[in-house]
Amino acid sequence: MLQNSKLLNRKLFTHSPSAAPATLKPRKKSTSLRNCKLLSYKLPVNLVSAAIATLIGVSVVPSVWPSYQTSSSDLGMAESRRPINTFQGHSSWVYAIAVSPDDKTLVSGGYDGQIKIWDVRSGVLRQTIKAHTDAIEALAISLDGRFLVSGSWDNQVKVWDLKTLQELETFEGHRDDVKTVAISADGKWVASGGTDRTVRLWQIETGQERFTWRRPAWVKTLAFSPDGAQVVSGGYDGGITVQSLNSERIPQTWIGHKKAVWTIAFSPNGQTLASGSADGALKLWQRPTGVIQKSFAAHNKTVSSLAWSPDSRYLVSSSTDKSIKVWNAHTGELLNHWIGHRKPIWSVAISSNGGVLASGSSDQTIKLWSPFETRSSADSTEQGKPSSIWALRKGRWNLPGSIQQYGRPSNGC
Amino acid sequence: MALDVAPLSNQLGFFSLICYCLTLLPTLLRIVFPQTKQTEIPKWLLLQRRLIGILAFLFAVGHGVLLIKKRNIDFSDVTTAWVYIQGICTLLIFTLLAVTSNDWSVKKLKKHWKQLHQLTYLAMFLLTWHVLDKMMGHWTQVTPISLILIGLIDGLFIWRRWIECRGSAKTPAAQSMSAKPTKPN
Repeated sequence: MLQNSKLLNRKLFTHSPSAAPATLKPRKKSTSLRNCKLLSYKLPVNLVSAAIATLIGVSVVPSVWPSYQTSSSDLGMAESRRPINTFQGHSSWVYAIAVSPDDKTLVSGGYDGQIKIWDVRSGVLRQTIKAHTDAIEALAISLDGRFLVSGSWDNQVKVWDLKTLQELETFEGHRDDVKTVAISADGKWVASGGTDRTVRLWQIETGQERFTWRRPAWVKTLAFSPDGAQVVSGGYDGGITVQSLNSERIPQTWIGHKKAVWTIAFSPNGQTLASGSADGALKLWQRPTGVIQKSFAAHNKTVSSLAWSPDSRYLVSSSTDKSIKVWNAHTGELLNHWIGHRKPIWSVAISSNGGVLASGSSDQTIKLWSPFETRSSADSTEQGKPSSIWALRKGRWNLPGSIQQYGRPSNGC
Repeated sequence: MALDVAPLSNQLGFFSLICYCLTLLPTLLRIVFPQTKQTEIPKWLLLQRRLIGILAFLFAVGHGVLLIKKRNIDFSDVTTAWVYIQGICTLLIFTLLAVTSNDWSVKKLKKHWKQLHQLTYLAMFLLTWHVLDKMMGHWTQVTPISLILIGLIDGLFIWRRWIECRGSAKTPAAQSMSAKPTKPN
């Protein structure tokens, strides 16, 4: 009996195969079988879990790993600035922003299909409109501040009364995502373009489509010339097409970019067209010849948006590399480099009187930047005094008289 | 309400969904409607299943690539993974299935191959969620057809599982009936 119990203990507590080969062998076999069954049962689940974990890992690492962040050493001689205010309220990516000419209202739209109306000075979210059933990628405000136009992935272009926020018109005609919208300087026409490879011209008063121009590639950006005579569009083929509105002339195509043209903006004086591309290049084109005046590697990644200072001397570019840069349009000199957004910036806007500069990003925020004195050494030597284009004094937005010489410049239209 | 014409990216997604449904149909029909065994279409679908499955994968890749380009989808952003989780997971499943849809993989993976290809049923529900979520409020002409198709497949699958569960519940009972001790002679 004692011998039997000793033998049992040895069988139970020893793992030596020599001690109890007969009992351990089958046990080992059954464990491995169970493991194997478990593995085969859980294989699909494990694979999906691993895939999701990898996906999240790949997505998270770039945003937390320090080397992926924009280094301040990239700035060179340019100054680095921080935002003066941040508006939070969007629950998803902010794709488009626009500022009213009186600097009081900022409008933003994004992936959630909502338009948000912000008070610029207080940063208070005044209203949210469920404007579209899909993402809003384009917004524009007319120069008289009456109309707001939105373009969406739901293929629609909508016109809103900026004061009452009532929907005035819905333009239906695009057969795919609307990527860009613009309002003519006289506030009578809306142009829109998208991935159905068309540029469409709509009359606000009648709500009717007047022209449709086919393009060889997806249309990413467009703008009215300040005199309202031309609609210029840029597309994924890297070309810029200049379409005259007053005549039936064949449109001109300006070739220069190697990759998709993401953004174009007329200088308020109408003499220069700036364009930014997916290859990070920024080009300045002379009008009406289409000759490239300047070309420079502006950003490491796509140049997503451009805006001119009201006196046509400075150009602000934003990029998916999370930075905003201020350029001297005459010399091509980098004057400022602003960092603040954690994710790609999709849109940058300056109000038509130059009082507000704002940017919208994938980090779900809109940031306001100080309208600082963008004075380069060349300017000060040339004029002998600071070119105070934008000045922030005692917390109030003051505009120097020199701006008024151009009247009411275009807000990227 | 007039529905929009589906752009190419959506059409590719639609074709992928059709092909995917066709790969599931023979097995579902065989179990849910056994009488269809005699007809030629399920037989033909069964024969061509591998090819149709690969076609589904290729259409899905086309759909994904076009949308990534068109919508500038940024994969360095963690939000992207959550916003497009159904589409990404479905494409990953399709990729796994397409890569292992060959005799060599069947031979190498042995019984794991069958387990791996069970993922196709997960894709069914992911796809339903994907179509509903992404097309909500913005239907194109192919959206209702897609939803009807995938809804039917979901329904057939649930029916199939019910039949199988009922069958497996009956089997032990039947076994115990047959195992009843007979009277000794």
